[in-house]
Amino acid sequence: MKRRAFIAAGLGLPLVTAAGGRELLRARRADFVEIGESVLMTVSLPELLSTRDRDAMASIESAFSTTLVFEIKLYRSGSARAVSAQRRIVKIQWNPWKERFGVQTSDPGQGTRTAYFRGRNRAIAWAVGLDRIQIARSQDLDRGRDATYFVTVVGQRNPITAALLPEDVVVGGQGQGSDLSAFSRWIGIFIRDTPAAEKTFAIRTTPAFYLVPR
Amino acid sequence: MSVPSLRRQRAALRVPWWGRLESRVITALVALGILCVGASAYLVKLTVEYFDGLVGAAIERSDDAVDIAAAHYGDLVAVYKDAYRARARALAREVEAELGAADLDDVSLVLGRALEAEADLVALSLVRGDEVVIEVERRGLLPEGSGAWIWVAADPVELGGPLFVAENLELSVLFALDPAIERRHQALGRLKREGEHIAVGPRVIVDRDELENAVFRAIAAASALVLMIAFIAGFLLARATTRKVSELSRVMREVAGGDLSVRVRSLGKDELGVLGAAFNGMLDELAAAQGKVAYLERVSAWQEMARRIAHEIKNPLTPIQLAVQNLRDKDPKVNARFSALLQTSAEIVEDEIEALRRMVGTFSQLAKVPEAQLAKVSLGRILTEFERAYGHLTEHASDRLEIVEAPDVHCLGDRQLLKQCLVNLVENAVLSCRDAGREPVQVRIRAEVMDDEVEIWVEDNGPGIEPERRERVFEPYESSREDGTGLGLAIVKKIILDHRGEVRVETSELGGAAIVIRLPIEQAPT
Repeated sequence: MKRRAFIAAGLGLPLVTAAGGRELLRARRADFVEIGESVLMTVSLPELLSTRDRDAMASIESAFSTTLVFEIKLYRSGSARAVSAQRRIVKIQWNPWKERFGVQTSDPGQGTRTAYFRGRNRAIAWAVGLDRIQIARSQDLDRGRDATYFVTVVGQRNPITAALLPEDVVVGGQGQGSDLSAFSRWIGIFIRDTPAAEKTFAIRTTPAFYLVPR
Repeated sequence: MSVPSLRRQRAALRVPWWGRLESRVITALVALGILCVGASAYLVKLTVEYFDGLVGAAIERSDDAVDIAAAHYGDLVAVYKDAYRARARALAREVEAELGAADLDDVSLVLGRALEAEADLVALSLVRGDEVVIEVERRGLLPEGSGAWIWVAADPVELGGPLFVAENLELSVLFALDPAIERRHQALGRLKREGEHIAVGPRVIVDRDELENAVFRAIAAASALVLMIAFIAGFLLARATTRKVSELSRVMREVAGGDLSVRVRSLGKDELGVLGAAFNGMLDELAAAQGKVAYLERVSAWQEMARRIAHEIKNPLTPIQLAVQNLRDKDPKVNARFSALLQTSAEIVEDEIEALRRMVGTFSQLAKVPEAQLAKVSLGRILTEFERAYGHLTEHASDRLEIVEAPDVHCLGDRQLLKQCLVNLVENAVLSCRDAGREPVQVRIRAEVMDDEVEIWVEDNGPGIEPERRERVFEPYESSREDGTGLGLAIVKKIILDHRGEVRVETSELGGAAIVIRLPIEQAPT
């Protein structure tokens, strides 16, 4: 092996490892309808908050809020650039004051809506489902069989961000000495897996859809 | 010598690129480094696991605390609800008492007063099943969706009294609760959920197990780095040391092979450098001693030859001279031409006999150099006696012999022989100056003390001696003068070597040569 190829292989190894560690997009069938000027999608990600996940269920029933974040992106087939992107945030929790499961849904530009359910599983089904969510305006999409589209949905349960952590949990932060800070950076070099959320589940809708020519 | 054997010999003398000592030192350093770094890494691992265990236990306790707190939250909610129910019942009794048998039209007024009386009431209503008959609510209150309040509805309370019973009415009360209690509970939930996560830096969050593994990887990498540095440092250190040892070894092998001219290259100022310098000094002394021995052997051989030649030549000279004189005396003088021839031949023979006699004399002078009888002698005394005996340098008044007062030192030497050395040197100097036509002749004798030795300088203003001849002039019968015997300096050197001293040639400040005699000082007993 030539030296250049060897170096390239060495440099490329972390990328391969990183790619291997990324969540794969699962193929999932979704329903798309065009109503008026909107293209709506209906799909569900029950894996994100499984009723068999005892910790997650215990957390919900303890009246702790569980946050689900859906990153929804629409792509034209063959293109890596998203036609549209949006984010939905759903919070589900047991409300002991009302003795109901509350599901609060926030869509950008559409405000916040809260629905209450007596049954936990119904509340969860509501929370993990994207029911007739607008993914694009039809005028922004081309029509016909030649213009097919698909949607990727990356769902995260309780995403983890540094902002959520209290100050004193950040190791090697300011005020802890330059040596500790340098050591922290040194440790940071060797961190391979940085979890983005308590659970991540991603799908890609299949088959692709297209808008019927008018 | 054949080419392969020459190659083998050179290979044997060449310093190996990777010596055994070098590899042993490096191996020892690396082994020591591995041991230290391994031990440190193991201790770090134990420390990390120990503290991880402590942190894990603390997190478990924290989880338990959160669970307990969460249970308390449920109890708190229940207590609040009970309290709200009790207050609702109390309100119902107040409404019953105030209204009695009054008309329902007055209910709104009564409920309004009750609403104003309690700050955390949102609404009071009379309901019949799911139907709201009369409702009074507080105005200007932010809706529940704003997050400013939690609205808690108490269970409807049956109202007594004929009017309410007849109408089947119940009192429904809606309370407003500060949401801080809910926010605190959610903060508790976040604490429980994120207990296993740690932020390393502003944007990197890791699982605790992953952080532990990253610490191990970082320590391993740092250890490998330290080991690599130790290896390089050990390699350089060992190489620097073993190179010196190899250099010493090489020179020793060459010396053992008979080459005394080889020297150790400069090895610095450490112990090996000092050893190399000492070894070089030893080689210098060895070479000097070897040179002295060789010189003395040569002079000794010359002395023996001179003694024999002198003996063999000197004996027949007298009879030959007598015979020649007889021949000249018995000349009948009958033939003038014959007489002239005889006279001339006799003179020639007598001249040659005289020349031979002088040669035999110089041979005898060399052969008769006596063994030095060493005794402690004052240098000053030698110079004083020499000045007394040879103060008049030549018959020319302008010629000058300067004898600088000698330092008060004593040498172990033969006074007569040392004086003879000075005589030889001064005679040599005067003759050289004469040959070179120097007028007036200047000769200076001075002495300098150098540590535990004394140097006697005999300088002149003659033509000097070229650097390339300075070693050769001490060889017997080596002279640049036509009438020189070449024995004066040889005798001087022989005498000085017998005194364990040295003699060399320098350039004089007077412009000519300087013959320097170096003698060891005999320390005065203390």
